[in-house]
Amino acid sequence: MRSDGARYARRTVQRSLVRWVCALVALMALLSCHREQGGLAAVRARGELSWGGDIQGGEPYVFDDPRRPGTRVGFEVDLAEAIARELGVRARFVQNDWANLVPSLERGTFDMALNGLEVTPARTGRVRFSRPYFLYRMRLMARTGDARVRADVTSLRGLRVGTLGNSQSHDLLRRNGIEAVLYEGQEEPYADLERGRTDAVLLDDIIATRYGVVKPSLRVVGDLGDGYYAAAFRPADESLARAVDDALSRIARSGELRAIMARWQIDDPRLAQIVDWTAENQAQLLRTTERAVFGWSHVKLFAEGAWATVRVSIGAMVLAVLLGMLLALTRQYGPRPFAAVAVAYVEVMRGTPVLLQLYLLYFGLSRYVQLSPMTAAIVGLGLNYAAYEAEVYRAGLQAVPKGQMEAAIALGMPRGMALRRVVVPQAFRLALPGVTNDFIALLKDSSLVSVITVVELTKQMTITAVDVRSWLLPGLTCAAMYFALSYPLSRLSRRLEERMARS
Amino acid sequence: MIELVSVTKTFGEKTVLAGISATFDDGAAVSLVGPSGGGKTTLLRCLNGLESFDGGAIKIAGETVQPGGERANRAAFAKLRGRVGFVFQQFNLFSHRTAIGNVIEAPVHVRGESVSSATERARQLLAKVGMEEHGHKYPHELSGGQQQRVAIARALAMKPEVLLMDEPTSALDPERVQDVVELLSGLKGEGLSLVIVTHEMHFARAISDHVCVLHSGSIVEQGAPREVLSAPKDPRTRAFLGLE
Repeated sequence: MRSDGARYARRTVQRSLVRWVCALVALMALLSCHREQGGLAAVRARGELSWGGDIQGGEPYVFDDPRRPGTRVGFEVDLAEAIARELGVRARFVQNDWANLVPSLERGTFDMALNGLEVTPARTGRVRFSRPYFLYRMRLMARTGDARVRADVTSLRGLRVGTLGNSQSHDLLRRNGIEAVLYEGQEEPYADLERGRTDAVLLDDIIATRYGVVKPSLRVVGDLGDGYYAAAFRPADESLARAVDDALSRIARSGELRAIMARWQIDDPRLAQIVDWTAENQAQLLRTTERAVFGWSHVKLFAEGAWATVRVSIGAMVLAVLLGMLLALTRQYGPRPFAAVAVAYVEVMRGTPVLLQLYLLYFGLSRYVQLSPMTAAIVGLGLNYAAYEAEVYRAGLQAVPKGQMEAAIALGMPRGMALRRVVVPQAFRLALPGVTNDFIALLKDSSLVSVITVVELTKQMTITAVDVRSWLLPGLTCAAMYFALSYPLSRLSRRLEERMARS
Repeated sequence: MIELVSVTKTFGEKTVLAGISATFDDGAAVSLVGPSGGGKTTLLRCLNGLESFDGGAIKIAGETVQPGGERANRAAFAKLRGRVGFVFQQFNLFSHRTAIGNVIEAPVHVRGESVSSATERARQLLAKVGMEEHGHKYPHELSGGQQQRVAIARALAMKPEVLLMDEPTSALDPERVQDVVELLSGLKGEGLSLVIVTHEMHFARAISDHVCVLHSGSIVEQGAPREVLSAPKDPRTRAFLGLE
């Protein structure tokens, strides 16, 4: 009896477990339904091919038509429309940050990524590339008078070379142990090269032609290799990829591909190779795949990034604390016009994005002041946070009882001395928990300085994430490092608050 | 000698001091009494320039203070504040410094004395006010009476000729008032002049040589405490003392 009962109970548990698992599987199938939307049949059914690109990549890829803002133009727009026409559907553009085109493709944001995606071994293992639609060269540029830079990668040893992160040029520089300065836009690398912040720029020839060659103080040194742009698909969407391969083949053989390139002034006799592209060519192109694995060497790079984060944060905080105190004192005790300036400073710096301030400081003012990226990062964040510190101190100054100042004056102290010896030290103590909080916030905000080419912890994480084709492990490691830096600070802040509450 | 010559002060429409004239002898203890809002504390604060006045003049510790506050009297205040000590009603000890730290602050940073000699003297002063045990403590660790003693020691550290005190008994337990009377009597015996604002008539009687009754910004009666506090002539004083 008892054993029967036990068996019955076990069976019920098993049955309900099975039911739960079934429900879970059904739910997951339901949730993942939208990820199966690709494939040729789905695209045809929707009558639409969605494709991802970044208009910030600029001319001549995909960009906003300056004459008709809001309209996308570029050789890739023309190409996408030609492909869609061949498939018998419409093309729909989806704006997506360039660095994240592949992850977005994978999670199903669009059917096809088509935006100067270079066929690199790292990407080949992850996405299904179409046959190439463009052959580019990695073009090296330097300042006109600089003879150190030659059309040979070894001549770059010991020099600073600007490029875009995770591009084939970036890979080439890294493989040869050359210091790469990473930009997020295409104009800035050449502007910085002109001003001497870097010694050379290595980027695709299309970019060099549009943004570099037009600057008279720069010269083309030569090309360090070439590569292909291709459209990228999810490996599961093989039917769609094959259809697009066929479409591209027709577009190329009919002469339309080179006509499109000619329209954008990037046609080149060497493109004939792409028109006559064969299955062997494709197999050859995709032969080398490489799969980097997240490991100790990455953790070491992360530690270097964390060190940059710490340097930027501490430097900026020291500046913010000193300038913030000066602003708060001026606002509270200074003559009226100076106080008004202090108020205006606080309002303007708090009321505009720190990202914009960093851009203006580093790129906007580069004609007048030449700051190194690290200096600009410290000064930019420091000037911004000074506005917040000023408010924290103002609250601290107001919390010091008036009698403290009077007592100091009654003892014969001049006002300045009374502030310095009596009021400010007490205000600082009152403000300390707030200051510690701001420092924690600054530690995290310091990731913004990657826009001015400082490779700190978050930037290092994004570079690594693309290399190892995963955001999860690098992301968690990065988060753990930020936490290791900020947690002791938040403990300190708590302790200070408790001590303050006691006295 | 402290001499007040028709000191006036208005605050908007309100007259706070309506032409105060008086002379206080060196080494005397003077009490300023009267109803709230009569101008006692304002007058006291004018004596060391914490408050400005609009007319008349004040001669104190060998300096003459003119109307116009800080700006008009910079030189006078610089000399005067070392010679005129002030003990606040709430004591206003520097809360980020120990008792010793409070006492040496001005000698070291205003007078330029060495820390070691200032500290030595601070210990003597704290012993004098009965606080020798508490030199290392912060203000928040001290009782009201103890804070007052440190505040007195802090003022004495500048070797003043005159000590101004605002309501010295208000923060004390009644049984401690006698201690303050004894402490102040001792200081007076060493030649220190005292000007004290107080509400406490027993205290005024015990400590003062001279009492001024202020009413609506005027001195309505002054003289020895025996006369003024026991047999006042002015009806306003009699009303204030509850004799009518």
